[in-house]
Amino acid sequence: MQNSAYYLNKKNTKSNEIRICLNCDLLQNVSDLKPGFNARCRRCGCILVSKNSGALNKSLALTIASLILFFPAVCFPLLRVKLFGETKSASILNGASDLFNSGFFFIAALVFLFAFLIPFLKYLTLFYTLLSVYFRIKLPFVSRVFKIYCLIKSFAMEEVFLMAALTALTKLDSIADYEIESGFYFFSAFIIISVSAISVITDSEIWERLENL
Amino acid sequence: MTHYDETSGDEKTIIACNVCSKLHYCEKSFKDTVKCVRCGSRIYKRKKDSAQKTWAFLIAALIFYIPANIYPIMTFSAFGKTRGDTIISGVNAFIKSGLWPLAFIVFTASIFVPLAKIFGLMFILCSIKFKWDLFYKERTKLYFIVEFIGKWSMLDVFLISLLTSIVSLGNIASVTPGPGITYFAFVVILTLFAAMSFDPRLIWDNNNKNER
Repeated sequence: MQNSAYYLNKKNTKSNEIRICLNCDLLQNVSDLKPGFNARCRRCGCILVSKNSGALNKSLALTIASLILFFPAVCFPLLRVKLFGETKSASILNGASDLFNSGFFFIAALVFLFAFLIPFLKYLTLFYTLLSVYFRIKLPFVSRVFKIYCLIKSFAMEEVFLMAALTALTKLDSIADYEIESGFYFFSAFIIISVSAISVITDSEIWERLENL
Repeated sequence: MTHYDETSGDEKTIIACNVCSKLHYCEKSFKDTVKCVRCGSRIYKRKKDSAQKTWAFLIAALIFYIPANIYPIMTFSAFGKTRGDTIISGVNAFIKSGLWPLAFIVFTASIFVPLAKIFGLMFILCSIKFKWDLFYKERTKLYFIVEFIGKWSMLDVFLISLLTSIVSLGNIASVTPGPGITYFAFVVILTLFAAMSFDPRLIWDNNNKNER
């Protein structure tokens, strides 16, 4: 007796691929895509497959760049504020440790977690996985590492922090003189590059490549 | 999604892994203990207890939203005078000083977005409960919007953390976070979890037209 997995595989010729829509659970055939095109779900319109030429190269390069930019972005001061004759500079790590020292542990933990630790882990795990996929070496625990990436990726809020810094600037505008410091530019560059690193490759493509290592 | 095997007549189920979207061909009565061959996470037909969990997170978020608005989110003290700002009075202060775009940003991030998330998800959950046969695409889109805007309500928390670390000159001028911001952070985190635990495939379970 033929089992259904075999049946489906037989039908699954080279030019056709069976895909299931993750958002509405519709099973459909996707024909071979040209690079640069997306296949959308017939029923709900969400993207099923997207092919991007050289996605792996681009995304590895951009991930390395964003990891390099991450440290100056986080450690260098974002703003320098002159308030009643006293100058203060604020960076993410400084701000978190300031809050911790003044006893606001919960807020300090939130800033440290969502603006520093989770973004860092996100790009580190992505880098590790892409490295493994790119050189076709099965690095230890690579699928577990990428699973961690999939779980934490929606909790990284570095771009929200940048927006908050801009809002803080405008709020302080009436009472203080401020200067934008180098960290701000590093941070903006980090966000632009990291967002493009993620958007050139889809998670399902990385999973497929991981499976075929 | 059930798949009918023409040769054997067995009904098999094709299930996509929730984490890595690998397809699995399972028996109709498969058990929850099956693990994904690719990423090792458990396979569920739908996220486990999705609607219940989402309701729980949403109701908790709605409860936390009340103290978040009553208590001051920050206190500003300058030269011995202290002023507590709640979320709404903060927006008001921006409007009074004529900073309209800023008032808009803070209003959107800290009042509109949390409420839109809570009530948007509640609406979707109710529509599933009452088996609406309408607006499938739009409801899916609404879920994606809710998921996308979620983290932007964290802006207020970051804003206050920045102001606290910048404006800390002891008696001359200082900003301290108030109890409201803790509750507000809980609201944001709970709504994030609510959006994560919701499974958009539940919306489409009621749709039997144009399958395959």
